[in-house]
Formats: sequence, structure tokens, C-alpha cells
Amino acid sequence: MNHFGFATPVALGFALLMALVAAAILHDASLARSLSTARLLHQRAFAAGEFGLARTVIELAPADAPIPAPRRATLPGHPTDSVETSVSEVLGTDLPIGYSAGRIVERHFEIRSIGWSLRNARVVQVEGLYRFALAGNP
Amino acid sequence: MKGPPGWMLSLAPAFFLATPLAAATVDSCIAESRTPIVLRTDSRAPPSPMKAFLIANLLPELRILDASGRPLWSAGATGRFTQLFPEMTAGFTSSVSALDLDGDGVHDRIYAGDLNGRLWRFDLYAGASPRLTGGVFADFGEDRIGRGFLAPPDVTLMAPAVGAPWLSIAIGTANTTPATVASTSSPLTHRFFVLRDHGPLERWTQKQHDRWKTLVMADLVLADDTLGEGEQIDARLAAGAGFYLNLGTNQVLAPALTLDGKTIFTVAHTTQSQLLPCGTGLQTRVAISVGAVSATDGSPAMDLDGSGLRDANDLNVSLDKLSSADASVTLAITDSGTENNINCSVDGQALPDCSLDTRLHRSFWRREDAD
Repeated sequence: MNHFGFATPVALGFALLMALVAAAILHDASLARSLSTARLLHQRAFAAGEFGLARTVIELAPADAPIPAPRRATLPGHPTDSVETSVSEVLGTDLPIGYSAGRIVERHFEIRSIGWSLRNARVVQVEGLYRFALAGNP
Repeated sequence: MKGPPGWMLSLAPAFFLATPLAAATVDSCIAESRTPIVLRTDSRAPPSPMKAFLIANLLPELRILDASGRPLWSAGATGRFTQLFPEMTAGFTSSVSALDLDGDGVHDRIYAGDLNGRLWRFDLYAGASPRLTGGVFADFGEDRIGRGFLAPPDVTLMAPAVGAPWLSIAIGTANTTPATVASTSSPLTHRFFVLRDHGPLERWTQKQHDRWKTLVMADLVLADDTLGEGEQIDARLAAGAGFYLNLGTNQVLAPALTLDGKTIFTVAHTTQSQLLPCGTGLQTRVAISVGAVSATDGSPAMDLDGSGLRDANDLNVSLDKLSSADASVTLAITDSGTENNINCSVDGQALPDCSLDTRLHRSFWRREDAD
């Protein structure tokens, strides 16, 4: 008399199911870790960009400051992170609202700051600034 | 056509037009001005900006010369001029301001005050040669008794949060008769005007200029010297023609300066006419007062006397020492150690509560990466 047992297939099926669940869990964990790392690196790139903006604003703060030259620098304390900044004067009007035409000018600047981190994480931030200045000054 | 007298040609260009922010340390020779302007001419293809000079002097005419001195345009009442303006019967000397209204590097508008107390507005058009439309914008020289404009108009674009923008034109009168005449007649009284041009950016045709109802004293509001801080002169000002201050016998010989909607001006305490050739020895250092009004409502705008209040006393604050008759409010960068400040001064004397805010202001922030 042949007895076809069902325990073996059930056990095999269960083992397969468990393997699939384990694989899915591993995949999720790996993906979550990957996303988390990417987000962390992205945040570091963002912070690097913010650092570039803040530093450039300080350089541009004095009334007679020249436009800072483009440059790329490594962040202090984070050798893997860097920032690339550039400034351009995008507009100048000698008819600023509320100020003597031709004697006071309104100068508009655009700071472009690119923060870099590991795995080519990159964030580009652009900040617009304006100030009043004497006509004829740089 | 007869040219200007030799002594007039020998005058240096009006120093405050050439360097409007430089300290005024020389006595006045304000009988002629040579205002740099940029025109757009279509005589070349493509049309390109061209540097030129607007010449004004004691003669009742205006001229535009190119950089090499070649005549490009002229205007007068009668005679051989490029354009005729029948009302152009007085000279303009140094009371000329040219404006670039659209930021394209080419001048679009000229305001000029003449020796008879009339303020002219001109609109510039591109052409094979310069072409202007223009006319008398305001006439405050009713009696033609030697009261007119010598200092350049100070022009400011004003744009309130609610309502249409306008150009604020600050200008004051001075003696325009020779000193000998002025000394034998009773001293003239003078005024400081802050006018409104409600067509700030539009270019008028000659027909529009001809239709313009010239502003006169009756159209303006007297900025009452009893007004306190924040008090409004009159509801009429909201859409009106502007306001004025009485200056007594003091004269306006230097351009005003407007900062953040506050117009600062100087007046010279002299009854002598400054329309004299340089080097005559008659130009003396005189007492100077300074005042500041809101270009919007005429109220005292700065605490110039350091009293802690902005009140009527701030409309006429005497400086400590004598100054050049045509001393203007200038702005100078002073290093305070940590950052640069731009402060107002008159002939080296600092003005309290008056400075230019040069701090950086954020206008926008955005991200450009696609992450």
C-alpha cells in the first residue's frame, strides 16, 4: 500500500515561503538602509550648500565688497563634503523705488551654491540678494 | 547764432552734475552745465546707444553735442534750432536731470528748471538724430522777478503698496538776477517744492505735452510747519500735484537727496545771487541749514537736530559752521570697524539720523537640483 505523505511538501512549501519572506525582509532592510544613507548624504550636501551660501553672504556684506570669485572648497571637519560657489550681479537699476534716481543704485546678486557629498550627492541652491549702493561704486 | 559769452565757456562743468556725490568744497560757478546723456540713434544699424552731452547755460536754449562736440540737437524759442519751444525764454544753467527709466542704459526723460521758475519735462525718442518732446511741467515764476531754479531736480520713483506709482521731483528756487540788482531790491522769498509726475514711465507725445495743464502754486499744498510726526498734510496729496515749503529769503543752490522716501535738502542763508562768473571773489561761505521731509506726505522725516523727535524743527536745522553756498547733502562711506556705513554729511558735517542702509536683503531662494 502506497502512502503519499503530505508532511514533506508542506514542510518544503513552508520553507520556501519563509525563504521568500526572509528575502523580502532583507530587501526592505537593504532598501531602507540605502535610502537612509542617500538621504543622509543628501542632507550633508544640502548643509554644504548652505555653508557656501552663508560664507558668500558674509564676503559680500561690506558695502564696498567686490564680487567674490567662483571657488570650490572642502568643508572643515568633513573632508568628503565640498561646496562650489559663484556670484553674479544679475541686475542693477539706477531708479530704485524711494531713492534718488542716478545717485543711488539698487544692485541685485545671485549666489549659486552647489553642495557635494559622497556618492555624488549634490544639492544646488540659489539665493537672490539686493542692496542699495552709491552710483558709480563697484 | 550768438554763442555764450567767453567767461561762461571757460567755466568748469557743473561739479555736482559730474560728481553728484562728491563733497562740495568749492564755491559755486553754476552758470553752465554739461550733463552726460546716452541716446539711442537709428542712424546706425542696429540702433545703438551713443554718448552725448546736454548743454545748458544762461541763454534760453538747450543743446545736445556728441562726444566730439558736434551739434546733434538744439532747442529754443525762435531762430535756427532743431526744435522750437515757444515758451523757452529763459536759460537752464545747472538745473538739469536726465533719467533712464527702463534700465536699458539709454536716457528717456529730462527734467530741467529754468531761470524763470519753470520746470520742464522732456521725453527722448530714438531717431536718426535726437528728437525730444517737451513742455513746461510746472510754472512757479508767476511774476518773473528773478526767482528761478539753479540746482538740479532730485527725481525719485515712488511706488506705494496701494495706488499708482509717481515720480517725486524735489527742487527749490534761488535768486537768478545779478547780485547788484538783488542787493538794491527787496530780498526775494523762496520755496522748496516736492512735485508729483503721475506719468512716471510713459513717454509723452508732443500733443500730450501741449495738452498738459501746467502746475502752478494753487495746485500744491503748503506743508504746514506745525505738522508733527506722521501727520498728513492733506488728503489732496494722495492724488495731487505735490507740496511745498516756504524758505523765506534762503535759497536752494544744491540738489536734494532722497533716501527711503525721505527727501533731505540744504538751503543757503544768503540773499546774493550765485549766478556770477567764477573767480570774481564775490562767492562767500555762508550759513547752511538742512531739512528733511517725507516725499509722500511732507511731514518731518528725520531727527536732524538730534532732539529725539521728528518735528517741525527738523525742517530747518542750522549747521555748526559756514559752508559753500551750494553745499549739497552727500553720502560718504565711513568704516566703523566691523562693517561699512554710508552716512550723510554736508561739507564734512555729519547729519544725524541720515544714512543709507547698504545691508544685503534676501529677495528669493530656490533649489535647482532635480533630486
